[in-house]
Amino acid sequence: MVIEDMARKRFTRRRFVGAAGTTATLGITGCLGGGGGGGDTIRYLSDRGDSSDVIDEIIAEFEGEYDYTVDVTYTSRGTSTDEELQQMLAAGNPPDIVFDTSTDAYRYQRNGNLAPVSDAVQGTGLPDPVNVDGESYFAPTIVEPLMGWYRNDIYEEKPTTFETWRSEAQRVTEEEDDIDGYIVQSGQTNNAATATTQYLWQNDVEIYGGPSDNIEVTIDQGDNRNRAVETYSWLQEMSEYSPTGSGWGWGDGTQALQQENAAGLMSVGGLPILTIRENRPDLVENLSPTGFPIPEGGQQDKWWAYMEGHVVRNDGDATEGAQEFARFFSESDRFLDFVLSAPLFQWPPTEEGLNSDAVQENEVLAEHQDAVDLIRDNWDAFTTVLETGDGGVPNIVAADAYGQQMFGQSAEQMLVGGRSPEETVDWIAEELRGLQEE
Amino acid sequence: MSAVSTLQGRLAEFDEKRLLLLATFVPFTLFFVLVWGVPIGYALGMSLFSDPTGAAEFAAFANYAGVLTSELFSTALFNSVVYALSSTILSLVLGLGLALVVNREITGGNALRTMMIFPYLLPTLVVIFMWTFLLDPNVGAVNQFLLDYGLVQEPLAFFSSTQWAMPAVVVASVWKYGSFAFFILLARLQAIDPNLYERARVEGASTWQAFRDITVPHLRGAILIIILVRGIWMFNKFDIIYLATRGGPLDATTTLPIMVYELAFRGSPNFGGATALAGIMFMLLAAVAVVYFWVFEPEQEVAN
Repeated sequence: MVIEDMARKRFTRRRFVGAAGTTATLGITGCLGGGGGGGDTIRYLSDRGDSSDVIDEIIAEFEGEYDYTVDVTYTSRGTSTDEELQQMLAAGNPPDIVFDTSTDAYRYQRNGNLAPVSDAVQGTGLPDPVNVDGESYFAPTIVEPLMGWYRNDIYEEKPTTFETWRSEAQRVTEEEDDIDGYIVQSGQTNNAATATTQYLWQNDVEIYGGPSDNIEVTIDQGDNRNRAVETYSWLQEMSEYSPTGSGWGWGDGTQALQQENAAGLMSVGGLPILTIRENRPDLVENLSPTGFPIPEGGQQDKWWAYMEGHVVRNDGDATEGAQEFARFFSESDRFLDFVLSAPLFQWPPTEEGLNSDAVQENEVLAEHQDAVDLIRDNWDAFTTVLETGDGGVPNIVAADAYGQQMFGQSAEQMLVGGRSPEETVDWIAEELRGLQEE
Repeated sequence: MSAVSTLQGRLAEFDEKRLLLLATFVPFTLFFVLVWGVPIGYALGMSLFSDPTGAAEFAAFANYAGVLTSELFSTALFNSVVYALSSTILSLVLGLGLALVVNREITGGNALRTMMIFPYLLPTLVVIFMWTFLLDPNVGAVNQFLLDYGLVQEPLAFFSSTQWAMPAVVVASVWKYGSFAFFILLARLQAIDPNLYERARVEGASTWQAFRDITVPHLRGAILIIILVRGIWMFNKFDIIYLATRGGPLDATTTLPIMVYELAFRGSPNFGGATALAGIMFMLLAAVAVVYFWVFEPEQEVAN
């Protein structure tokens, strides 16, 4: 009896421990084995949540024609695609297809993370900025050129040159109450990085040279150095007529314009006007688009335009399906609807698209014909920061510099850190060369 | 008593008491292991690999060496210590002062006590929005006040200048988290026997002497706990700093948690380095906690 009781009790303990162990094992298995998905589910990461209606319709058409389902993750506000992607990778759930910039696409390709999307690009008339050994790794869907906006009721003339921008910004700051003439952004933001790079381009500074496999940093050499110092000096002077734009992203500049704290800024496409149309419609007619300042007698020959589109990763579960989806998206009848879901901000990736009926007939674009004309007149000058090797070949140093917003940091080194323009040029040159060594 | 009956007795005791203990202990242990142990172990494991989320290669302690020898590490560590110490001590001083005021029977004491909870309840995003607006160089009320009274000639860019960014973040943090110390200290103050003060007064003690010899000893345990807990929280604080300055300008407010985030998600992601830095932070805080418990023996204070 005692033996039986002992056996029963031991059995009870064993059962207890066994049950606990089983539960733990199942729990751990459940935690570690979660996620994933079959090869027929395409995981799609996009930061275009504002265009989700059109995207969802394209996905529905795709799912109707192919034996795939598309599971979209829209990045949350304030989270970049890069950040979201890294979180998904860390969780062991990489997306199959990502909406990203051509610059990031080139970095991913360099790291060996991409599968080609040649069928979606080659022979379609689309640009092919990330072509490596004959294979295309990026399917463009939109371009987003940088663009300036200024208050036409406050500026006495449309500023075009470095000097007219400076004199008008100074006059506005000194004569107008509670409003600065211009916004100079600095810091580790895309806004500051793109604007600073474009200022240097405007003054004909060749930041880099050489072929893709041997990029050389030339910003601090010969005449380039003189022009770069001149550009940073101009920026330093303009900062006197600007609110403190340290750490400002796109939205901060727009907000300053909207709140009438500043009378001019450089941003991306029609992003400011789209926001202001919503919040301050009374201001819209007082804002005019413009390009970046050019030197006296110079002309606009290199204009930063983001190019965004699809990249297919090679470490997902549905790589082939993702390649099909990239091609389907570019060929979809709804493609231009997607582009025009944010008119003025997003533009078609081809001149043919720009001249299409859909663009011509878009109501928002028709209300801002001056912005459309600016885009049309400068179409041939648009380029991405990636295409800055000799002859426009891909430049991995520029891609990495953009990824770390080095040029925004250079402006911060000068405007906040107190470096002179000369020291700033030395600093950025050293940092860029440091990127080459990594 | 035979061996069998002894064993029987022990097993009976096991069934009645220890099984209950085991039944409560095992789920907690499992929970601890799954929710804390596994992620910590996973993260520390990642810290030993280069590119742990991609083509992972065992790198031993190379990530630790890389982080410790980076230029930013010493800056971020210094900023972390400055931020954690200053925000904790100021929160403590503010909380103590207000708790002493509210502990007296003054007009509006109850209202003040109720109001003190609001900063703690407000979302961090709202707090930062409010403080960036207040301290804005163009439209901020603080700059307007300083200019109107001639205290400054030019508006101060609080969150955008290297000398003012850290103080501005600390002020916003103290405003939000000061009530934590306030409520703990107020509860402790209200537990002090009023007869002690009465007796001290009868024996001729001044207000200062009563504060020094009665109030402070009673608050010592609570103060030590606040310093430890709040200090650790502030050392690990990420959201309020990132929302206010993103670690800038020029890394003036880059603390170790911001650096972890920058390593993990910005530019060229370095998860190995980020997890290594998180491991270093964990070890630093563990070392501080051990020294703290060894020197101050706060458990004795609480027990007393």
